[in-house]
Amino acid sequence: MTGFDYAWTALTTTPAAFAAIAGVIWGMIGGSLPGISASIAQALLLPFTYGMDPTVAITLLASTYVGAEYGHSIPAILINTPGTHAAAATVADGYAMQRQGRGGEALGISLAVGVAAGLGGWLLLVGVTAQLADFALLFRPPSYFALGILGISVIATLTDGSLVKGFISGTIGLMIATIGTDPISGVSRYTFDQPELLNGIPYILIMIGVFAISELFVQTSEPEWERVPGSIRIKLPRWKMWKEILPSALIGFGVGSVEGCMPGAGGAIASFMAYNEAKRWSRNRAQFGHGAPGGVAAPEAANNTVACTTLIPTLSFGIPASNSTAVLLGGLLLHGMDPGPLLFTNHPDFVYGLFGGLLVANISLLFLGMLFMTPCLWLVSQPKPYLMAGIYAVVFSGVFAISNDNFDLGLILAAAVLGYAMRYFKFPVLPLVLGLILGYMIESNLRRSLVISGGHWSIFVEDPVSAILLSIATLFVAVAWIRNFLQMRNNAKQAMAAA
Amino acid sequence: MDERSPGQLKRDMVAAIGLMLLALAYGLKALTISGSSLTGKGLGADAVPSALAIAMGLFAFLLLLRSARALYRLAPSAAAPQAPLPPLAERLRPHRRALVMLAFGIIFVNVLEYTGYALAIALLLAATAWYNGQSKLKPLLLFAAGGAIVYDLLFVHLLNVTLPAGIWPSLFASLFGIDS
Repeated sequence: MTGFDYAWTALTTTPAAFAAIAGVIWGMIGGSLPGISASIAQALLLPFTYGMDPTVAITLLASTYVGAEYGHSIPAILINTPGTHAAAATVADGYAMQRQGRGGEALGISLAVGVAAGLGGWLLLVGVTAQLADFALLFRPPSYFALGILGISVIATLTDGSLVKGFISGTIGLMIATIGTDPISGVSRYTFDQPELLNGIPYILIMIGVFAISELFVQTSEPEWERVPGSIRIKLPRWKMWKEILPSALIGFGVGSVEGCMPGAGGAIASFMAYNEAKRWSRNRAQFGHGAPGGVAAPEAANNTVACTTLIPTLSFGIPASNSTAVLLGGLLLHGMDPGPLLFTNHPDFVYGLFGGLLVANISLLFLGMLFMTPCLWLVSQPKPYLMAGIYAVVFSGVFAISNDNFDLGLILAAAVLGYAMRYFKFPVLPLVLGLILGYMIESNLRRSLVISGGHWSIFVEDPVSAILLSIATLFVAVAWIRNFLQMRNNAKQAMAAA
Repeated sequence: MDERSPGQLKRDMVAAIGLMLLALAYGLKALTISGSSLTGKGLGADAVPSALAIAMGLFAFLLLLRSARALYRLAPSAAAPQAPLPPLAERLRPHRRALVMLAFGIIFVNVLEYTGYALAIALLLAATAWYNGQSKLKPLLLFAAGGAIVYDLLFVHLLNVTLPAGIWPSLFASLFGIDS
């Protein structure tokens, strides 16, 4: 069977196409709420995917990401409130256009460019990931251990904040992953005689706690969201407008293509980089920040490209590039799909089914974006107290629906406290989630490798894939450490000069 | 707050001390993990936890050292007049509000078995909406009741999830002599 056959079968024999459409709608609605990021919208969906077919479940989650990337632009453009860091770059020119009475035009640019860039990103995703399947047979236990170490190292070094904090966060995730029955010997660890902990802590609970509930804890002190003024009619760009925004959109697509493939980069960096580059190369540079259509097109193209290309490192190596792909990775493991090169060999029906679902999601975004504009605006205009209460209730109901166990509800509250504390102390959350997800893979493959080698650690250097991956991880840490050191020295010099 | 501001550096020091204590407790517990003969020449079940405890201790120590050094270097400029801090109550307000939200969650978890899902979710909806600014009683009650019905329909009837019915079935059974 060819990839096309697999995709066609998945779309015609399972509800994957329906899941793609539902995901886009949910993502748009969730994304249009200030404070609800794509990862939160996905985390809220996770409990409902339990009984689903893996292709349908992951298509639903990935399409939510696609829809949310457009949804975020709605509050950014209309009420000057970026739902996420990634949408912050859209605010400058999007809101300026809204103030000039061109809000519908700005939303139209965001939607049309987003769909075009999303389709371009999809082509890249399909083209690049398929080539990586050939590496599948080279992977052995030492390689998987090295892959896990590389994932945590890259994420810890590339996420916001200090290097040490990134590593601490990753270590906390690995520590939580050791709770439960030891994967090799069957000995129980850190269970404190609680039978509920014998199977370990499900990462879905940690993700919902640290992403969704801790956000509610933060939002409870934030002021009421601004309401959308009147009704807005979306206006898709005409040919003349396309000519004006095309260079910016292409820059956004280029930046999004590269950034999306890089673990840890995510949409925020891509959208700001795209905005800066579009401004730098634009003939109307002075208009940027005052309602330039190119200032909307560039970050939106970057965002939507990233929504697809970010799946390249996630599916190929199990290394998520952002919070959203970390939730997606959790979903993959939840449904028994071990990401990595073997995924293409073992589950081609799943991979190509997902690709098919994503194509449907990106195409349907154009129609759904126009069709669901009014419900999204209605939702953004609802009082914040109702929305907060509604989300809190759906989290508890969803988690209880998974296991019918109060213990799990207690666990998500504990995870929420952990997430809140990490935000307060400015620790990145992504390495924690990744440590938790990759913990089992790292530990079991480390120990398996040592059993194979008779206790000789040299196996990690003798295995070529492991040696390469560990070298890259070391390189990442060394570069980040040098960068950190130079920055600290710079800061110290500035402080001395100020004194 | 700026990553390198004195306030943030002090927070980092507090976090580092807390993490060192966590590393100690985690490491001590790792010592009590029993080994297994199944592992042969490989690592035992306690090896990774012990390594993680050491790593956490080291990272936390590095964070403490780095923050203390940065704070020491900032000391001369810190002596310059700074804007007064807001009162303590104002600074603690976000945490207090987060704590109340947490308390709603804890109460929900504990009353769920007794009140049943529908009533517990109505109470959670009402309490959360009220605490976040919806003070008018009538819309609040309508929202809580409507929300509870929608959630009950969605989870219990549409998704077929078995959610706690509470004490009501047995109470009605004993009151009206119906076999539950």
